[in-house]
Amino acid sequence: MRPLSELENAVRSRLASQGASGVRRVACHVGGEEVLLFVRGGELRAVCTCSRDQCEHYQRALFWLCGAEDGLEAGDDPRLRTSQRPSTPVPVDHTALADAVDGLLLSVVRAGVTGASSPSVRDAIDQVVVRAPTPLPLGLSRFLGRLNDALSRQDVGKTARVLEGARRFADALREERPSSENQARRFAWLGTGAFGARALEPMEDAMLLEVGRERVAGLQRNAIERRYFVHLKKLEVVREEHLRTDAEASVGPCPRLLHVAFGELEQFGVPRRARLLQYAVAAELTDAHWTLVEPVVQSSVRELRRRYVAAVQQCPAQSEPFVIFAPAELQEEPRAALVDAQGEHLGLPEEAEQPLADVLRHLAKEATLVWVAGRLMSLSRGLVLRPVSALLKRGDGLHFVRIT
Amino acid sequence: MQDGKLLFECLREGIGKQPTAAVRDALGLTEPAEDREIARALTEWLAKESLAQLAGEQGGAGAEERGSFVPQPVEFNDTSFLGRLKPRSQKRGDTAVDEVNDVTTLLAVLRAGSLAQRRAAARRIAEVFESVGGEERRAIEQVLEQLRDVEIAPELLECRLKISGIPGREAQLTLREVRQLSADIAPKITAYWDGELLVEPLMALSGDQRAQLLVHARHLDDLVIAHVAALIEGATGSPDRRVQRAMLSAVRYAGDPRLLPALVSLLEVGDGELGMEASRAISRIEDPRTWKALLAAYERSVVDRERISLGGALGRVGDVRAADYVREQLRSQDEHVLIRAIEAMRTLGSADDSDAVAAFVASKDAVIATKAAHTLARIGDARALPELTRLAREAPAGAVRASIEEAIEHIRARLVLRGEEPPSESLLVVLDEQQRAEGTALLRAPFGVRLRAYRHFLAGRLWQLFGATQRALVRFDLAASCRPGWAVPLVAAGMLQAGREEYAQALGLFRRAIDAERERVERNPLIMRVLARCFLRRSEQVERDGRVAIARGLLDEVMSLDLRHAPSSLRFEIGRRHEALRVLGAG
Repeated sequence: MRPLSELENAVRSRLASQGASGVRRVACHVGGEEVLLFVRGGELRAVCTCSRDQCEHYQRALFWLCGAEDGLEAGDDPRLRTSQRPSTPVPVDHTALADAVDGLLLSVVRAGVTGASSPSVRDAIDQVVVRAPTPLPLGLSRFLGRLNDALSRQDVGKTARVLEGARRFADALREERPSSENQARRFAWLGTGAFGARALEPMEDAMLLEVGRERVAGLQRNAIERRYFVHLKKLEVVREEHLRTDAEASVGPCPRLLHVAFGELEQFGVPRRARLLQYAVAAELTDAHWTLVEPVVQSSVRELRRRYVAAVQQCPAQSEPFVIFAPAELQEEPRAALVDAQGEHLGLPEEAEQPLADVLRHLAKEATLVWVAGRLMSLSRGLVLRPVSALLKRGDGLHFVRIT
Repeated sequence: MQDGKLLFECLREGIGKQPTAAVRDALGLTEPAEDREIARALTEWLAKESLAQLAGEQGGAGAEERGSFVPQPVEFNDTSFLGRLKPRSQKRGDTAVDEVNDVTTLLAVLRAGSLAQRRAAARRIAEVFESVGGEERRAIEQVLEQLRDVEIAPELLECRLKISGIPGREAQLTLREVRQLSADIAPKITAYWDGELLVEPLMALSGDQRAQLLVHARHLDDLVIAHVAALIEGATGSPDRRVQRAMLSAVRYAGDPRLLPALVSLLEVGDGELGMEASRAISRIEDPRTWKALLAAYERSVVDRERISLGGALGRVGDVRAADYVREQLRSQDEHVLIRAIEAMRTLGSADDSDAVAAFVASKDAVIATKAAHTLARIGDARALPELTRLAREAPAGAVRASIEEAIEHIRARLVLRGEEPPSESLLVVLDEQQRAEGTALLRAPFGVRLRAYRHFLAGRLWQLFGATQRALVRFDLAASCRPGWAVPLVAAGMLQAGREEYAQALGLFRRAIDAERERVERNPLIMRVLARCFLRRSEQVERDGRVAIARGLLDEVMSLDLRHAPSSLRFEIGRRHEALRVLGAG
């Protein structure tokens, strides 16, 4: 039998030699577990779903990858899944894109928010899309969705904030040697097209509890699907985002508990975007799981407002804070709102999104509302929570309810 | 000093509308500043200001934000009692089902009301059952025993649980079966997502088991519902349209709000076929989100079949904006568009549409005729009665006649609610026909022959009791040979074969039984349960073997029978598979 180090070297050199268009990760099913092998910093690294280092699955995977069948055990039926390095993106002309973004800003300011349907604004949006990487990155797509929404609502404040985010992005694009913050900003807007691998934080051995899903507008209506998770170690909310036409989303029902063996977190935007690369799904949740979320639950509207303002100040166009709020009561008249213990109000959606508030009212009548999870939005009437899910307490325990 | 109002107006109306020098000064910019520079400074200032206002607990800068357009439902202008009858009273003076105490009225609403009214009536009946008198109780029990309305199956189950006798025991059995199935499946779901189970557990169930489970979705655990939602959304890593379609069909009558987010996500994705199926399920869920989701999808739809289905779904929740459009589609030459339009008229049609729909009851296509009869039942206008009565007399016994008779009953119930008198003469003709057809077969054979046949039959039963299946089958066959017009031994043999899952053999026996005594077979719920399941299983078997045309033929055959006495879940699954194979057959 060949020594392990020899096998490791062989696999490492094979993975390292694949080049830009080759295999970047190999996932191997051995003995009911999945072993993920990849090269980082010139070293071969591995993560196994059994959570042990240098485990027998890892060793058997190495044997199998090197064609050494003698290392496999009877009954082993290894299966291989490879993750291809994305094809080399067409280089984006950052200056041209920055100019297009500035052009859009100028068009909106010239037309005003009441002239949103102006042909010059539509043309400026087209120019941004033409100069952006293909397919349109999620960050840029969402920016256009939010801008369209602000213009259709004729909301001056929101339009200004979204455009301010675009202005900072354009400035970041023009920097020849961007600071780490601007590098992260570019990555949040452009994704891999920004060549900013350094803007990613590895996520290993993490537990994520999904607390909601929603679809938001990008360049097209409902173009982006989001899943929100509570990172149970970092105690922050993170989001997984993908285009609705994309099959790359993680699998499983909502709610679910994910044991993430390997993933990545972006460093810019609120909540941070997560990429889940290797994980195990647990669909059955008990009341005990929901107690793990408690440290993230907010109960003060004042604190929510402070955090919202801080997040939007930092990255105005890429921050859409998602919070879990435990209200003291649900006010119905004159306007539906969640009220905290200090009597401060957190608005609920009205008009076209009134049904979301109605559902919450209905749920509050039939059970005790433990918390409401949702996306914070700033409208002319103040801070509003768009409810995405809720946790209810009934006689037989806690019940999670999806609203969107 | 910066002038906030000026700058705010600047972005609201556009910088061209404001004096450039004033804007420049307000932003603290120097003389040669270009528009680009002004625009950047303006958005920076306004963004900061709007956040400062928010932090200071005031509204944002856009105090004059325009509200989004909120459409209103287009409702029937029906001033009759039924038109004004609300499911729940919301304000003083409302006429609402939850305040009605008269059992006759409640039973009529249960038969002839809209979906929301029927649901409310069933709930109300369950509430008042304990407090009503003996005669009224018997009336309730009689109606509940006959009523097979799958759309309100969960509510009917609650009612039946309250009554004694066979319906009550059946309801308890159904509930036990559902809970058992749910308890059995939960660990499999956990194992499936854990990667320990490769076969999706709900797809491993037969279609009717799935339908039975999900018709009573409201009794299922959150875990099972979340799993079903994930399958509908395609959150399995490799979304399988076959699985999504099967799940959507199974949840059509579930009416569980927990499934709504997943169903709405399919509508929003804009996949026509799945969207149509999703719209049917959504429209049966009582929830504030339902109408808005359907309306948005309807306004986006352009393909006739989808638009008709969405229009019909909107009609079910009380918005009839699609009525004119669907009426136009009744003239379509496309069979699929026509069927959808007839279906949609159930929720969109008014009394004026009776004649147009009644014309389709005489169609040679049994599917179109049956659907048209169902639509007339829902429209419930007396003008259709003469035509329906004539057709009921002329139509051969089977599905079409059953649906026509059902339509007559529905219309009659609706007339009661309108305070009208149904034309009794025509109904008597139908009843007369039924009575003449019933139970004369026993008198045909001479006494000696009948005695011999009974002897063989009893011997067959004894052998069956001892587990000697072959001997039992031989005896049943002898009994049937003695008296060719006697269905009982054939049914016994058929049920014996079906119990051994020998569906192909059982089919032949059931067919002979139907030839011998069709009405007797069709009116027995126990036989119809096994018979319908037998056809369904055999159809699944031959479809798996790739013989789609034969599978469709089997379903055509079973659908030509009067399935009113078969369980709702089976009828539903047969209908669903039939529709799927029909579409498949049409390419």
